[in-house]
Amino acid sequence: MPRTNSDQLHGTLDMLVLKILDDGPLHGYAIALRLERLSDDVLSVEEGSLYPALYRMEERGWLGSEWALTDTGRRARFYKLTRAGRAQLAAESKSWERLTAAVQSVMKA
Amino acid sequence: MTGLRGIVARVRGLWRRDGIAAEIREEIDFHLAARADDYARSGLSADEARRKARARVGDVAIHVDRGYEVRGAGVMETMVQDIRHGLRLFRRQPVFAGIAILTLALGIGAATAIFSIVEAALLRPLPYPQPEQIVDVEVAMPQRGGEFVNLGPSLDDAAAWRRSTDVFSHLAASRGAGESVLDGPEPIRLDSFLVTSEFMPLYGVTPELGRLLVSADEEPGAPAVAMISHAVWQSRFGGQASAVGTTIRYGGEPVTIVGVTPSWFRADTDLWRPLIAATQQTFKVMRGSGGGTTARLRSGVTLEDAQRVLTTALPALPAGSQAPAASPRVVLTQELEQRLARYRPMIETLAGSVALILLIACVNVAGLLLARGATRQGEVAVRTSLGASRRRLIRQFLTESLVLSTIGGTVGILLAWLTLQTLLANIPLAVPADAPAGINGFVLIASLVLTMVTGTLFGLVPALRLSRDSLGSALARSGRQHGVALTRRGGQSLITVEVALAVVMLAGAGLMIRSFSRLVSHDLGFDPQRFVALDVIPAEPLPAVYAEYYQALVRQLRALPAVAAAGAIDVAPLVGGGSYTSATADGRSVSIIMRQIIPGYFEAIGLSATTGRLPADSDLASAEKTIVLSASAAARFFPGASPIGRQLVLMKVPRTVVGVVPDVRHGPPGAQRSEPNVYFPYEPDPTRIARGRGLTVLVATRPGATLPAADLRRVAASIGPRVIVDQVRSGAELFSAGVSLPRRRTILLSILGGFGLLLSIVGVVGMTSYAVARRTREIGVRMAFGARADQVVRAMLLDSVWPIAIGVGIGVGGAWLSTGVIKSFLYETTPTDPVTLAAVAVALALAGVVAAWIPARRAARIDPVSALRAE
Repeated sequence: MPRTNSDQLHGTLDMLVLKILDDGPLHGYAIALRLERLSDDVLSVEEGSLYPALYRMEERGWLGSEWALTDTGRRARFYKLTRAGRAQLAAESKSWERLTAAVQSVMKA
Repeated sequence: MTGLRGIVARVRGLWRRDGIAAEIREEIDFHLAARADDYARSGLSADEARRKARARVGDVAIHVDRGYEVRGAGVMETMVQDIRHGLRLFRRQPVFAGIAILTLALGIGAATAIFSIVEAALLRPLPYPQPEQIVDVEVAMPQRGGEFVNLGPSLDDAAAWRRSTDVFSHLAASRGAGESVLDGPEPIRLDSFLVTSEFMPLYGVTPELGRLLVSADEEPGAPAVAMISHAVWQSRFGGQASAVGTTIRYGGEPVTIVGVTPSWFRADTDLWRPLIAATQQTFKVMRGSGGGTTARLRSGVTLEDAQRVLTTALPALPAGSQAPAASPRVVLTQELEQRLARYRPMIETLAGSVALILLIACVNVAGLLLARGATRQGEVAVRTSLGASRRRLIRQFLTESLVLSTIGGTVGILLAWLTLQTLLANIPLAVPADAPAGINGFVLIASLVLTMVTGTLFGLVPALRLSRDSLGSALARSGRQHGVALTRRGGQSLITVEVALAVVMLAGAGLMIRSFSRLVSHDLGFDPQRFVALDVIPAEPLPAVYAEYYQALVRQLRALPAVAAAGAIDVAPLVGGGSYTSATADGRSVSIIMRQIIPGYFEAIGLSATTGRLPADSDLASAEKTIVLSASAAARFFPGASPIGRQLVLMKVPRTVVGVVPDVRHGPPGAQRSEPNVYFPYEPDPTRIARGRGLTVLVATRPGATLPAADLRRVAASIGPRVIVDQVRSGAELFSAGVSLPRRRTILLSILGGFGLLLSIVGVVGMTSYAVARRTREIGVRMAFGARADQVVRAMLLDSVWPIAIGVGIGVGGAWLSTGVIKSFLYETTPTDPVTLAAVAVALALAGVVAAWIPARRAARIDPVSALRAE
């Protein structure tokens, strides 16, 4: 299973994280797991890229965060989408759909 | 973590790295633990799970660092970090930091020094309560041709206002009374001012000792009284309380001291006496007679309201005067504003110069930062790849430039503090002695604000440019020596801007220098180097004493072996002033200046008669009154005819013209053109004598002989009557004093202009050196392909010559538009004087080319092989 270099995924990673958080607040580890699972382990994200990305998105105002207890009673930092984050997600999914549609039509031709 | 604990953590996070770092570490630790739990659930042992998780996650410390790089949410903490980072960089590049700091120190220092002086001279509020309500009252009198001339109101005007209006709480008349002799064991001349009783209360003055002048003092026949200044009280009365009540002899009459004025109030006046309307016949009825009127408006009364009310109440013009088309109107000017208006041209010039210097300094440092930025591309690339946002980078670069400007500003403020006294001595602004200029809190705050603005100004462009480089392009180029931080075009624009600013500054300095050289080289009609002037008056104000004394003194001086000629005149040449009157000859009345002399005067200043003879000692005793005319007076009175032997009536006395002398410029250099003068033997006038006016004795020495001032003073004191010898000054000193204000202005503007030139040359050298460094590889290639050294140097030089030429052009245009500010300082020189502008343009072009040539030469020494290998 080839791992995808996260550096090439700069914008894509943002979009995926936003998409994952669209279902509700999650802590960093849960986001990483969800990402791996949802992509059938095609996408794996290094911790060294995930957290800077989360902080960056938080600084841009797309995410909010809060310390809370997990099901197992540990303290963890939970991230959730802000209104701006939702808007960003909408914009990115739209342009992503356009891009993939374009690529597909080229590949099928 | 909500509530108080959260807030505390957050505040701590502002300051300490620990707060944020610990939070990130806790987050990563949780991540690690959660993953280990998952591994354990899939069947691994606890140890195995932990080890595997740790291997998967990697070095936690690095994650913390990287996360921290992005978050750095603690504003203060980030700032501290950036400041440290900046200081480290400056330590590593001391030459860069040194030049930048010095440049900024000069700019901010000059601004601080000038501002502290302007603040002391003008911005500091007057020491009176509600100074904004104090107004100077004038009447704008319509003239023929529709113009208005502002004149001081008459005492009758003031009386009418007092009767029929109530817009002011105080109304006071005043006039200068000049100097008179204060007699005593050591007689001195004191300057006095006549004021009505409301004058001091208007300014909120309370006596330091004794009482103020009251209206009873103004009654005709009231005992003569005076208030003395704090300084006179100290120097003449030793600060004794017994001074009040003492009777002094002032101007030949007994005057009783009733009070002492506080030191903060008008320190340049020695003595205050009541203005007695009965003795002020002209001031009483005539506007513009030399007296002033000051009012304090009632609170709530606006300037416009008061003007309207006072205009309505203005008494009609005396019968018989021509009725002009328009009516006179009252003009009120706030005293504060009046003071500002007087110095406005100087302040605008200073502020403009300082602003230009600061701009040049900013451009210089911005250029340096951009040039240096090339070496930081790698750093930018690394930080960007670690997720630092552009905003974060801009903030870091701005912090660095603010650190730079803060250091520069501190050094600058220190420089200003050190040089302030020297500057103060040379600056043509009146700074009150009791409130000296200094770096006070207000000035300091202004300087600090200026420092911050400067830092942002020169830091913003480099910050925006340096942070713009995208990750890829920076990484791709980071291995190479040059970057895009400062393009060739960018460097050239900076050169253009600097040269243009320097041209404007130098044009100002150049115009002042040209004007000054015209002023001092102007032909006065006589040689000021020849003579020494001695200001002396007898202490006893009696006409007979005066007449006798001056004649005796001149005789005694002539007996000295070193003396070639000696004479006297009522107003010394180069000082200015004189008595204007009119004289009649052949039924023709001509306005002239009359000058009273003791024969020997013309010989002393080196003038001989063009027709007839000079006045002789025998004229003093002769029954026939004689007179000598200046050439222009002769031409006015007796056009086309010889004036010798003709009669001229002056002060109702017929006088015979015995000679004509050339016209001379009698006033201070540059002050006025020569006017018709008539000279006649000294006739002491009691009124003038009471005002402490005597003659100035002029002595010309024989070639090679010297005449110490002490000898002159001794002779003056040895004649008989007690005398006051005020000053002994050479003609050269008189001349120099006459041009001291323009000289100070010229020196000041020249220094500022030199500053501007220096800074811009530093800038051109810097930009060109950087261009050479940036193009090392290209030059290497060219040389490898056979380009000669001089061709390479020329190519580099050409790169700077064009921007210099454009800068000179823009600068000349800017000077053309802006030098009007110093128009009032210029003597027989227009603000757009083409010769000066051309000279400045050539000078800057040359200086610029030399400044570019020095680093360009280095291009020739580049070794092509190593230049290419370096890549």
